[in-house]
Amino acid sequence: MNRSDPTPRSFSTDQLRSALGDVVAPARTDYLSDIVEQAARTRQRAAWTFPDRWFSVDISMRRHGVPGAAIVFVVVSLLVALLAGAIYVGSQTRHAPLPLRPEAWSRIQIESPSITGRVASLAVSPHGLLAAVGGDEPTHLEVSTDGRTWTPVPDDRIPRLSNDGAFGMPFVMGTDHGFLMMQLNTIWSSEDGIDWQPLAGETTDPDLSRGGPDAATAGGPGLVGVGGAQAWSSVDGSDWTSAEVPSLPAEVRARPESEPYVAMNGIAASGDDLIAWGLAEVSSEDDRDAHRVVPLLWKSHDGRTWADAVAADMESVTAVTGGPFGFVATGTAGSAAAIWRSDDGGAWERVDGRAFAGYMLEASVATDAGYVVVGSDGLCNATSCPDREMVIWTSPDGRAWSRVPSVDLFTGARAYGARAWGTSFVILGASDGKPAIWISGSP
Amino acid sequence: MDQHRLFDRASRGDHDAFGVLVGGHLARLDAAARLILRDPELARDAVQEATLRAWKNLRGLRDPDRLGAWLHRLTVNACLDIARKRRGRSFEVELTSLNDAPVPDPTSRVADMLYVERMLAGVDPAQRAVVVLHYYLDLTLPETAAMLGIPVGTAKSRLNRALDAMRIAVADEDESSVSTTARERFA
Repeated sequence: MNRSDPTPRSFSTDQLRSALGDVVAPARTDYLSDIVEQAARTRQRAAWTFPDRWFSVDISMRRHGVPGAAIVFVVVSLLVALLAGAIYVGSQTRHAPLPLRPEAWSRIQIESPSITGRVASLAVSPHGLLAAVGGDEPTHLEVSTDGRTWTPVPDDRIPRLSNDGAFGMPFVMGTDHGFLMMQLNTIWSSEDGIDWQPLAGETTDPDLSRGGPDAATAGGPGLVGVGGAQAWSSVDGSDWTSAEVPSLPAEVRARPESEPYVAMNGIAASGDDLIAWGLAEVSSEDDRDAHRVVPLLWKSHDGRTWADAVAADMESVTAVTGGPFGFVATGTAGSAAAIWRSDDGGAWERVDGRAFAGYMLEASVATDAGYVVVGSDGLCNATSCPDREMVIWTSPDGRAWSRVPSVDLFTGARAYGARAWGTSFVILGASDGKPAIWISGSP
Repeated sequence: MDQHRLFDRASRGDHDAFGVLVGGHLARLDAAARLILRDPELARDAVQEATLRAWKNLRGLRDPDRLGAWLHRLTVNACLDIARKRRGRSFEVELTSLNDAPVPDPTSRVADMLYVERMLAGVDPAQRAVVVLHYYLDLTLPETAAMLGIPVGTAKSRLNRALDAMRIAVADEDESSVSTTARERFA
């Protein structure tokens, strides 16, 4: 049988079920004792920390129901007080130093209907913060004016979202007027993060018929976005124009068995320069069942035309951010964590990586004060690591890096991204399997 | 022992009772993870990650009858998490000795298995997850969509794309034929 030229076959449901069962036969249960030992070493969460049990309200009912008037009153009063505080704090112009010490960081866990979950995406706007929270329950949105207190957006106010963590978590971004949310070829807008309206989609915009942005940023004519193997630009998010993108590397185009998997995962701006990053998966030359990753890095000045900008020594690119000294990219080189910097995204210079040896770099962000890169303890295996530690490095210029000392605040944590909020750095992710963010200083 | 009593004991910190509860599901959890990740070690990691999460948060589960479905959901999400993380690095997939075996009678069960195994390698983990949930774990499409947290239409199109990519046509696809609920199947 040759996968490059397979003859289509017809299966009955039972036949396919049996074949799948045969693929994984015989059954394997030999590590049950490991599971039990692991449980014996791990403390369970106390019952009172599950609000759904505490209030004796069924999760599904609470998620779709209307909160009681008293709770609404208390929450609204709290929000008003916090909003007043946030406006006062926001009016004080000052420059915060880089958060070099653990004391500069605080962790905020976002209570979620999910038993477990993470903050998958976070947006900053003049209205405050919006978080897309997902996990083992369908994705939902939370809003906050101060980053400390979060209020869930009622499910009946938002479009149906996905929690398909591998490919479909919604992306949210802030604008001068509010928020945008992107998923499944559709872009929604909201002024306050609570009331959402569809802004563009595949049914009205032919340029979104083959997919839509999975990430976007302000730039070009107004907004630029990337997703899959495509890029777009838009003035205001209501009408998107496909951009001209570089050809995929020859080794990706040559993948024989099916359409190659390509995912442009993010986009960053520094001045007028734009950088988009992602990856393609290809089969190895000598073993079609083994896949490897080819990094993709595109550069543009206007968001309409993109050029290839990947450096020769990049094995993968996991994040890029634009800051006061240009772009900083994280990824791997020589099977080790690596950081590059670039003034304009055209030429990349690898910086001394000794500080990152043994770690995996997963997110980055910059403010006027400098750069923050977030990674995880490389001593853990792929993802199974109950005591996994989040590690933070800071740099004023993208060249010299120092690590924030390890404390309990960062153990059992994992970063999924990072954002700038005024002078604060915000890391989004999960702490002990629960949605959480870490904020430096005061925004 | 009665499952509810076991659950009560496990919720009070009895890890042996938890082991009995998980043991009843482990073979299918492990098989589903191996089908999605196509790597036995990563599959073991995913199942261990899922069961540890379940243990930690067991007291948050109100309905003991949902344990099986919950474990499957945690496992699928752990698999997709691992797949997402592996995107940043090379993804080595273990080949079985069957790949080098002579091509058997194309009508045989072994041929079916070899074909499905080879074709699974050509689709991404999210597509594999839909195939596994629907055809291996016998979830209906609405149940599959709910477990993945995606719209039913997305689950259906993802399943169709997966089957297209796997060069497989399912002749007797019939949603109504799956009458039992996920709760009944995983209980």
